[in-house]
Amino acid sequence: MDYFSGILGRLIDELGRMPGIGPKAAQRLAFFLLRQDAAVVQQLANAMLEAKAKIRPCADCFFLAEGERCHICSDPRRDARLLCVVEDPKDVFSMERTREYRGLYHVLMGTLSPLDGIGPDDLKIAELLKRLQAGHVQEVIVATNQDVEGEATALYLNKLIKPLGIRVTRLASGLPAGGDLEYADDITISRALGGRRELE
Amino acid sequence: MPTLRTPALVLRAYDFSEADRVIVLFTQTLGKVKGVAKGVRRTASRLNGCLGWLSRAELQLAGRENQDLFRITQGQLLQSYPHLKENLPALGRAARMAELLFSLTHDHQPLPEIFELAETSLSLWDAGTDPNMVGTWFEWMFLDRMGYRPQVEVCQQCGNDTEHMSYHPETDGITCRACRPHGGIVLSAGTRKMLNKLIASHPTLLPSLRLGEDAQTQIQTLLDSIIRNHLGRPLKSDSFQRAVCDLK
Repeated sequence: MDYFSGILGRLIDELGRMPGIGPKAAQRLAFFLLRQDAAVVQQLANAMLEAKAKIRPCADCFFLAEGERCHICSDPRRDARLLCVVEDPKDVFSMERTREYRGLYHVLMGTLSPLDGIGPDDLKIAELLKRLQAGHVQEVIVATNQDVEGEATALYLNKLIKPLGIRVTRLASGLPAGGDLEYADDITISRALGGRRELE
Repeated sequence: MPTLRTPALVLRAYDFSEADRVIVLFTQTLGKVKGVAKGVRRTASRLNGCLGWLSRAELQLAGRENQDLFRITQGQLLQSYPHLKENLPALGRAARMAELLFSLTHDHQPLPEIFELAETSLSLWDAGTDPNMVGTWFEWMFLDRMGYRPQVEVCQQCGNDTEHMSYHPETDGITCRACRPHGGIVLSAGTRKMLNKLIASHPTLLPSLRLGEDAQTQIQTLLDSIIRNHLGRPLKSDSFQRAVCDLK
């Protein structure tokens, strides 16, 4: 039996479309919104509409931008010789959280995924090559995920970028910080072993 | 809940919920099945290492045998085929294999012989055997074992064996030029001999076999046509394979 119909049912259905939100969570959110003052709900609706209207992919790197270019590409303090290639705009936030990286980014908007029919033409690879041909970049750090699709994308990019005389590096993989060797899987241990470094 | 253990190949994975994944497996004992791996997208997940695409693992599945979605509770990686995954042309052929297993086999249909074919092909690619030779062998053997392989010995109309024959997708067979002079995919006597050799060859002999350029083109066109005929569309992995083949 459908307990929620009409306006409330529609609100629950709309909230339930969001990733990670199941029917129960959608109901909780809907009831939460109903309990709020109209001004609070209006503020949320405005923020959503404004974000949708004003946030666009950056013309250079395809990260999220409020103008034509994102705040990272517009920042003159960034090192334009370093370019970090990531799959998704979310990955830029993960890299930025470290506060270690001061270079620029390029978002591919996905990875090569043979079974989904996603080939190089479906990603921002041509735009990346165009950027590299401008000549400022000296090193490309490929930070795609460490799964087969991510690795295949990294291999593919390496084949395209190496002939341009630009250094191509890949993020290291191995044991996570605080991780227990006993619980690590075989691939992680063998990669950690392969990427071991001398203690200083 | 009952559990069972089976060797399995990972055909594909979909993100599901906050940190879970639905994994499509080709298992030795149950055929193609789906399983959910809880929390596998978290770095600390122990299942993480054994559920990579095209890996072979011994998995523990919770659920009844005919269940739509198992829960993957434990796993031990048997082989990750690391060299295959560093070789783009081999990966392109392996992607075609995964798509064929995913698209042309039915759920819960045990196909131990096909499982062995897939396992052997992955090992051969990993060992550096010519990706096209292994891919051609797998696809031709797969079509044979699934009952989709057309006979390529004699003309299906007059029964003669002549130098040049053509395969016609609409009749799923070959005809000689006397019976049907136009159209179809040309298959020379040498190509047909090679196709028969592939069926009879033990996989250990594959590294010693060589496919000429003409034979390779004819066989690839034939395979694509048969697959398109049964699938109703070309393979999605074709664009990836073409892109990696175009790289120097």
